[in-house]
Amino acid sequence: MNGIHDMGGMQDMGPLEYEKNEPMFHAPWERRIFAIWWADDTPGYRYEAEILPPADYLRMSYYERMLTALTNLMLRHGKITAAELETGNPVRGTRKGELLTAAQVPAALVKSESTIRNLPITPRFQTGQRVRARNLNPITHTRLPRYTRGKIGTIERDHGVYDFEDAEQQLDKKPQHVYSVRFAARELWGEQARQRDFVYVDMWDDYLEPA
Amino acid sequence: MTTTRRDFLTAAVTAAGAAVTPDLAHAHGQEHGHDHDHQVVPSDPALRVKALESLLAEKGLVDRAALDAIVDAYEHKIGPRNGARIVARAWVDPAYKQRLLTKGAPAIAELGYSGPEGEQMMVVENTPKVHNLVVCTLCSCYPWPVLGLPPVWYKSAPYRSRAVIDPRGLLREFGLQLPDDVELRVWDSTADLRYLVLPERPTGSEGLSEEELAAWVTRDSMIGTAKAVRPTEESLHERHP
Repeated sequence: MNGIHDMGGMQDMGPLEYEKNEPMFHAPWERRIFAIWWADDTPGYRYEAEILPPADYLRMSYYERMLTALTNLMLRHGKITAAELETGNPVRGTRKGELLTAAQVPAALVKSESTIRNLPITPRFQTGQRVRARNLNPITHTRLPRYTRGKIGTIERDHGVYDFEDAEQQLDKKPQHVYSVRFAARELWGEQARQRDFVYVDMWDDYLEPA
Repeated sequence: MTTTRRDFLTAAVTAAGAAVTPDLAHAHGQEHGHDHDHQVVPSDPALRVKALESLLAEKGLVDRAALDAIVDAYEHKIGPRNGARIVARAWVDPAYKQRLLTKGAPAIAELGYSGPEGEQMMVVENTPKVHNLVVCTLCSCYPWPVLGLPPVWYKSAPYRSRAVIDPRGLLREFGLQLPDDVELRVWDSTADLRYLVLPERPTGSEGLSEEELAAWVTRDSMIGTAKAVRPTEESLHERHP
């Protein structure tokens, strides 16, 4: 989706606000919403955050966005209902989802299962090949940043086969190769860019065509 | 007087008001005939989180002790000191460095670090001729097992928007002026890979032990917004795990 979250290359977004010796959390409620989000298994969080109204997205802090998007996601999936949220009382028979217990947390914190899919899928592109990022504008979740669309780059590295994040909500996860694609800054931004600057973007096969 | 985009956004935000879950508020208003000023969800995030946590706990969807354990881990155990140990090892052990640059995650796991947002790791090396910078323009992707949770600025609009179009200007704001002949590589973490910058080992650090070297490695030097530097009294007492 061409949403506000896709902000690579936007200008005049304000000064960088750097906090020295910044704490991991700035308020107790940030700790709690982070942990609730971490423990939750509802799919589709990224998209839910991306469809927050743009003005809200920019106004809210990161954890405010997390709170609102996760609440909306749980409502959408029927994990909680609006009535439950209002009264604080669970409605019987509406429990949906798994519980992460305290005993399971230590293992979950270090669980590092590779997301690489061990499937015999042939890569469509080879290292060193020139490719063009396709001009795709799906209304759904995508990891193809707007600033790369239609631009020409070079395959730097084949990372192997991964599920296609654009298909997260579908039954068929469309596993395919992911490449690191190297774009010259001048290709992306024109003559104003520096000749020695490059942007590397990880891209699935479906985002690319030969150039 | 010209209206800047920021003026416009400020106006838009004001107009949007505090109705963060408009659908819900609307449904409630219809159902009970209340006026729309009455919000179902309190606007104070602290109260909203409390309400959500209570409800989920009541429903058996959240174990409060599990939440405590998660917070404790990310506040006290998982942070940039992990990444600093990786970098220090790579500085003293060429074979380790080779493994780290070839296949990040298994080499990082050799020192005991693994977990969510670190399943696939790519480590990129700074040299006198190449500087690397990491960003996630679409979201907030960051290598948790080695750096912990990202700082606010990393997740902010100014950083995410500028890192790909004006990286040298951005680095100057961090106090880092890159020479013109240095190639700058910006890594936008758009897929499942997470990035760690291997900073250059600074001059003056010769002969130090691996443990001493780790103190020279800052969080920012592993994102690429700074270089590794001699530790100061202040940096030795930073609160990050």
